Amino acid sequence: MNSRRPMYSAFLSLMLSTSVFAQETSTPTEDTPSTDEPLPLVKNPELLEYVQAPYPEAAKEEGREGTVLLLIEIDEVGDVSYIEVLKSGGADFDAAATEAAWNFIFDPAEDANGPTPVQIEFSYGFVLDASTVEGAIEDEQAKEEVVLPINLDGVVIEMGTKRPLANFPILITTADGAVIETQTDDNGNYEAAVYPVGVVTVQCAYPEYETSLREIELTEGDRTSLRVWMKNLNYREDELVGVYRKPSADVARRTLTMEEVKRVPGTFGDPVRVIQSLPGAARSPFGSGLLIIRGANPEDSAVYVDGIRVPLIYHLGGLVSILNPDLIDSVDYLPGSYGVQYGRSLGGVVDVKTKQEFPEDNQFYWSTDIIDSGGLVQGRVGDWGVAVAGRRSYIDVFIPLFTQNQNFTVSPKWYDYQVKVQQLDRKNGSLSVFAFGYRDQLTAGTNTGTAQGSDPDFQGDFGSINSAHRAYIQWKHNFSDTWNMTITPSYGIDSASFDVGGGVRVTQDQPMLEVRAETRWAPSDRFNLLLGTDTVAGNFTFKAELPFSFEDVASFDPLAERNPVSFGGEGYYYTPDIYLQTEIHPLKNVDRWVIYPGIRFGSGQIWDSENPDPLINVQGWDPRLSTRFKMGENGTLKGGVGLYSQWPQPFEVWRPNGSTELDMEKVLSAEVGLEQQIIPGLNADVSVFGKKLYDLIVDNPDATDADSLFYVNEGIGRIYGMEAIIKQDPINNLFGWISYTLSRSERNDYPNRTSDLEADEVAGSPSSGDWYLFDLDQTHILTGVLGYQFPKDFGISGQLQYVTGNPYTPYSGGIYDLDQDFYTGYSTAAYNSERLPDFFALNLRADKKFTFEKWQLDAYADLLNVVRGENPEFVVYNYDYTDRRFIRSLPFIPSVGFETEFHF
Amino acid sequence: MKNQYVLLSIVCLTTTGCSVQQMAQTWQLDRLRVLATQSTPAEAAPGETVAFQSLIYQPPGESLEGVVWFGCLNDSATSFGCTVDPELLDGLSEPPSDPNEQLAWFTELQEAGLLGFEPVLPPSWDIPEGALDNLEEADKIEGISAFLNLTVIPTDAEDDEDIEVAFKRYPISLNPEPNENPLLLNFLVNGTEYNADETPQVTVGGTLELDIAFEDGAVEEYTYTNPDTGVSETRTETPYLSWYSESGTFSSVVSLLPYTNVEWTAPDTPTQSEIIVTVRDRRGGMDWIRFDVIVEAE
Repeated sequence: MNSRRPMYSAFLSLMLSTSVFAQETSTPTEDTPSTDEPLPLVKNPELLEYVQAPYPEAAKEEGREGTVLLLIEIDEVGDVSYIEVLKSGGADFDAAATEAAWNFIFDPAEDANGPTPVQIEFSYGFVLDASTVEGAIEDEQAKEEVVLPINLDGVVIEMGTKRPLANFPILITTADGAVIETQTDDNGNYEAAVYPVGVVTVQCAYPEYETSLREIELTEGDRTSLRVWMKNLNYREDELVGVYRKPSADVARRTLTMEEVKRVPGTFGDPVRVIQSLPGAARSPFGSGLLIIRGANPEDSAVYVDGIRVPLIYHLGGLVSILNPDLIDSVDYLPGSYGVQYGRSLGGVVDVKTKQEFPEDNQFYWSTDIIDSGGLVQGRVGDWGVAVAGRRSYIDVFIPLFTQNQNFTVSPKWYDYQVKVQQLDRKNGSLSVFAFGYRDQLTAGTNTGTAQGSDPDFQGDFGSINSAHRAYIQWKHNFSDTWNMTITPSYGIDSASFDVGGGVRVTQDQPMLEVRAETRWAPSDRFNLLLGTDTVAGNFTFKAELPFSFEDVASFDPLAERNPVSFGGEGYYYTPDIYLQTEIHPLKNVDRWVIYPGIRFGSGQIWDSENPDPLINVQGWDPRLSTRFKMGENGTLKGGVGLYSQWPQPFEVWRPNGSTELDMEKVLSAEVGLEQQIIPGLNADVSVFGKKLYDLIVDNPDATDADSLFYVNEGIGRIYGMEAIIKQDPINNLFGWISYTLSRSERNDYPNRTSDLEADEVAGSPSSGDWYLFDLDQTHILTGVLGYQFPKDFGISGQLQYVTGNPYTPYSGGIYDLDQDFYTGYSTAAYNSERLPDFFALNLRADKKFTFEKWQLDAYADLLNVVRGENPEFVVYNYDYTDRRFIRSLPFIPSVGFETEFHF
Repeated sequence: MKNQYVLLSIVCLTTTGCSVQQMAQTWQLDRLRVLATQSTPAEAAPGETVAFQSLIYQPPGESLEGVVWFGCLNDSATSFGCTVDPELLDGLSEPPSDPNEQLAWFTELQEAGLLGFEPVLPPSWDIPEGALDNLEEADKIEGISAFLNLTVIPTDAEDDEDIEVAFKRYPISLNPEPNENPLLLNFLVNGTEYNADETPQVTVGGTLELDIAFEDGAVEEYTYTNPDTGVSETRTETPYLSWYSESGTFSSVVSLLPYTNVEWTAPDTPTQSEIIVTVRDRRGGMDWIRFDVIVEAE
């Protein structure tokens, strides 16, 4: 079809920033010089429909060839709006090329604001087939009588991803110098009749791809196939363009795309860890990954996977999350003022979303570093997308190498797994099944043949095992354009056990059924309604063995007269929460102002099988309101206020006899902020927040025996501060942000008991009725992240962190307990009245992606604490509390690893 | 979540990563301190008289002003032992000069629980006859834990930081088989028995296998009655040893029966080093042995 007739060669010269010009749309003024600058493109235009120009008859007869260089202007919808001949190839060629180019259709270019007009240079070549030059009559006869068979075919595929490349031009130069042009179809296939046979060259060139030039020998009567691999010169360019923040009822929702956050130093390639670099998140000790969000206790922040709550998001030590990074689509980080979909927590929320898309080909990912290894296989089986992932640690193998001379060993182990199946192309909705889980085990102890301290009840190893497993089915359905529903029933089981030398053993199992169902009705673009339920029900069993009883401690019995006790319980619980939220757009311009009023009703009961009365029976309403108001084109004012309630912690719930009489802990939270685009691609977000905590659960100072109430709702707290972030979107190979948090978090455990406490209280202690600083209060948290992507898939990035030291209580001395042979420290200073020195650290990361025909290799080096300050994590005292030292945080740690990606 | 913190701390502390400069260790004899006390008898009934003595380590060249003993029943104690008016203790450094005032002050001290002032007034305590009156008859077998407080005052003490404060529980009961102190017979070096006045020798940097020998019957069997169920059982004591030294290092600073031995590595310079080993039966009974080791040049 392409032979023995006039040949055309046209090659697109879409260049990056030098040849593609974002069109100026207004005249610069002195007042607004920056906003009228051409915006950097985040996506180049793509030629979707190419039109062949008729070869001018006169030129054909005269055997003339030529090339026309055109300037083509493409508007924001992809149509050609202007053409100018920059370099003439002859009047007839100019006219033919121009006429054809007017019918080109493009996928428009985009900058940070979306589709945008651009101009491109386009070379349109006219090349005659050699046989045509010899005689037009023969050519006419050939067209009518001779159809030469296809003798060359193949497919054009992107290297590394095996993605077929559609509409890519192929230029074939025959043995006698003629040029045959064709292009790939939608599946990346091409074919051509190439004559005369012999050694031919096959060339494929396309913007942002490395030009492929291959020689191949064609023989008479044979059909030859040639697969053409094209190397994308910048894979990350598209991947880095992501949504950082999306409007919702959550005032401070921050959504991060994976490819962006995986390159932040110190994350060990794990995207979940990046939230510790965002505003509102305090630095966790030893980088352990504790979620300390807006001055809340780590256990007060909630973690979800696709909306299903899980006990924790990190494995032991907080180095990696419980999900395979390649299965994660995004991480929503909500430090406060979030919507009614989330409840039962006073602190922040982290919701990890797994991938909803499955590749058309099969893919295999494998990652290895000094801590663990894991893999993911995903692809399609019929109408279903399937992903299977798993990971296993081996850090326990390496730790003994560093502790050979220590009379102490520690052995952490973990694994996790994920299996996801999703029905594809389901009409009006989707159906997916996801099962995942993890198990963390920690063992520590001394070598055999040696006493481990002076207590015979604690002569074994320390050990803990934590595991959680979840499986859910998620059904989404759009009943109409205005009504949809999502139902996610899940089943899971959490287990935990704790063993100290055989003297203390605690085990707990908690199977649960959780159902989250939501339906949204949107009758107009100015109003919609969300109704949902978040119900958790299950049962629990626990057993505890202790070498002493409460009475032993209270009566100061000699150690040898301790009475081992064993107790346990089982019961069940039911916590049906429902929530309602509306989205109101009061103005005709619906995008200008949106209000999200909502309310969540939380209730629940917990029963012990031994007691007819529930341990806990609570109900409460959590009203919440948030709003966003657009100020001009680039600014958004936002705010929210709401009530948040949280259940007691599991260990606070149980009591041997009767109700615990505990209520939910509560927080009244308010926040106001401004999002502002400074210049295209550079955005700022500033928030001021305040939280009033009340009904906090604290130890009951009146408890005297096992029949007493162990805990009471008497504590209060206050947290206030501001957060700011300036973020450079990943444009022109540069990304990064600076985040700053200024905050103060305080507690008062017994505001009404100042004069009622026993004489052995220490002034300024939590038991004295005074305000004191939260244990992890950090006044200033400054984090800077900067990354740059160089050519050849090489990138570097850095993270700088400065944080105020945590508060601590200094000891004044120690009193020697002659029976137990140790000193007990005492303090005459106020609780948490001093601070550790500030924390300062610089982390670096370098990564390089190698692309091969069927796979990619991404090697990286994470260098933690390249530069660091004293960085104490806590204070240790000598045996009699007369001397003290700081335990420094993690030292310089070089971590190397690699990730591979196979397509098959 | 807290496990993560534990893991990181453990890993950090057991590797060379998280550096912390060495501080004085509990086994190092480098300052004035109380290491143990012994009560005779180790467990008493109401109306009995108990004598006390303390094991005080004094570094060479330092002198001891005295050790003040107080005692109280547990109904007037806190978790740190007896509550004593600090103003009363202040008078110890500057007693009233007037004889009448002295007598009044001493009477006030006795009412506050003063048991003695070593070395001039050996501490002893006449256990109050009514010490167990608040207990049911069955509970008097187990009895109560009274408290003893010791304040060790060095000569030329400048402030409270120079003063060592310690406390101890003392069992008072009608136990027909009251506890006795776990008496040590002598010590062993590399398997050879030594008396306390003998001085083994070792070359610099050398090691000695140290062990102790108990007197017969030092490790007692005793009857324990669960106060909740009333069920009695026979238990065997599990004493433990604490090792102290002026120099060198121990392989382990605590030995819990059945382990009674440790390895001591001599310092790199010739010296004479005192070694002290204390034993506690975990029922309030204690004993000790102290001896010197001569570290010679090679």
